[in-house]
Amino acid sequence: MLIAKNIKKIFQLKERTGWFRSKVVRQITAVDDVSLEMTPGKIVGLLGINGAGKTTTIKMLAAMIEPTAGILQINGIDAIRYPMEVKKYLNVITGGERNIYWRLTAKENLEYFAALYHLKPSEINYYIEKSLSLVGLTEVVDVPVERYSKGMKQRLQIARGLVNDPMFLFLDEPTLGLDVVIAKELRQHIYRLAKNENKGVLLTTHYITEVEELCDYVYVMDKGRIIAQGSPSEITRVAIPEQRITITLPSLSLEAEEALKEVAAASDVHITFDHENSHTVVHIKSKDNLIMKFIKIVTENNIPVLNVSILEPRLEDALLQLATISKEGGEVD
Amino acid sequence: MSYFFQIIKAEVIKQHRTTFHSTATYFSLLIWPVVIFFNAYFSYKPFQMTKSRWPGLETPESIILFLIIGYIAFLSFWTLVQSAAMMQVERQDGTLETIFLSPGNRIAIIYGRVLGALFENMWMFFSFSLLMVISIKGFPLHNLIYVPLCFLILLVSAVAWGGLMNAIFLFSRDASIIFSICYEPMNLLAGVRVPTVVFPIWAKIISVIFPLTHALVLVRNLLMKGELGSVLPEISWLLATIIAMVVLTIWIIKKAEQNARKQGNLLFY
Repeated sequence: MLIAKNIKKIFQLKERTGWFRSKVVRQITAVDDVSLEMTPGKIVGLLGINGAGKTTTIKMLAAMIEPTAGILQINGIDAIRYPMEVKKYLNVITGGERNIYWRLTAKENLEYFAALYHLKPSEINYYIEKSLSLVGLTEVVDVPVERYSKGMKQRLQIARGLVNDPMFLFLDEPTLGLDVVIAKELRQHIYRLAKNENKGVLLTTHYITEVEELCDYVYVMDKGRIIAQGSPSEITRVAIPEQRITITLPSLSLEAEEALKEVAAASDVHITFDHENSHTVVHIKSKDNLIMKFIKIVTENNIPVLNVSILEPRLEDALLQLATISKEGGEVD
Repeated sequence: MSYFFQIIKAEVIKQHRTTFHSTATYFSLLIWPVVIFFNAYFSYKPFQMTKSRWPGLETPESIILFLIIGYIAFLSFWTLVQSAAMMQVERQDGTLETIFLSPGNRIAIIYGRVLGALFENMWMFFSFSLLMVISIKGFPLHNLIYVPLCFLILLVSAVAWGGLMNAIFLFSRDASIIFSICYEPMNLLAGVRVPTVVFPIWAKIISVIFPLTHALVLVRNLLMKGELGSVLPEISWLLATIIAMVVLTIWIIKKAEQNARKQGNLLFY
């Protein structure tokens, strides 16, 4: 299990004042008091706008950057004090085409990176074959990477991230710049890694569909802090607690309209009416599910219901809402 | 320990695969020694070298031999400064960060880089210089039995030097100053073209810090005189500089990683 408690990272910007002297001119708090957990078999999402502190958080969790404060434990080991001890349990996969040697083949790349993880030669061969087969690159294993397409390079990145059979895998925007087909394939790979291979996965992405499709739990970051957490549906409910209902009717009598307004006022529901030429649309925003109450009033007034639609709040809208609240300096419950 | 050598081996293979793509690359390495040979030969040819005041270098052949050995050894060292500068490419490509993501032994990685670069270049320099040495009139052929020992001296001292250079480039992305510091000063002060015994005292003191200085004295003595008895202190000096460089290298690697973990700057370029 990976547990981060109140981790913080302050970067110091220095300015040279002489040949061997420098002074701190500014301090930047990239990550502030972040606590999160990862367990094998679960996919955790880390969301936020650019500059929210996601990548710094990942680098701290991967023992690449030392937190300024806080506790980081990986399988019971103090990862801040013993970073080299925990590195064997971890790997990071980033989006883009860097982090691999283009002039080497896929196999040569993996042989090199696997050798850095203190594996026996037999283990190296086993994990190389397994990871290449998982990402479907076995046919091009001896082709130099520079001849690969963008999607193939990204798949090789995933294979590289698996050479040490890590318990925890950090994916930093892994589908960045990929077309929809390849991105879908990669999402399937990521899902299999967690559910079939029992790896704890932390995913950062700007594509909300990926989060909705893959993540069991989500942390939302802004300005270095976690401003919301929970399952995607929980976060959506917290950020946008109102259900949006539209009821389309052929017409609406004044009595019925007044009755609807009365119920709305009594239940703290926001209701509006659009009177069109051929029909009337009733818009209802409600925290509670009051749809049956409204339908009952309509049917009691002998008005047929043409259409009812319930608009479930989307995670994307929820994140925008959270970002707005955070920008205004408000708190999220 | 076997993991240590496993990483060195992996690093050497990677260096080879990323740098040498065709046999033409190997043959291109011949150009430098050839140019050096002709440069040294024709630069000194117009002068009356029978009146040289350099001790032990009274004949034209001995001066040319002195110069060739000096340049070949210097090139071996200089190649490692260049290979260390390639750390910048690893930094830009993000592979340096990926390497440091792993628990791989950092010292093994650094010395693997050095050996990878050295083996590639040294065999060509060495075989060609051997041919030149043999072809020079008056060269004591029986001294060729010392060639493996000379190779070992150059290898160990160059690796110690290269490790330090790699560690410095690991620590700083603005280490291009090393080129300026190492090229001409090392060329002059390590006794590549001029024997250190004729230096003024201040230059002699500086020359002591370069392992190349001591390696050159030993290699020249072995190949030109066939003995080491007269230069025994140089062996101690060479060992001392090698140990100092290795200790400094390990210290810099540790500090570099500590600093990178604090600043998060492995990716900066």
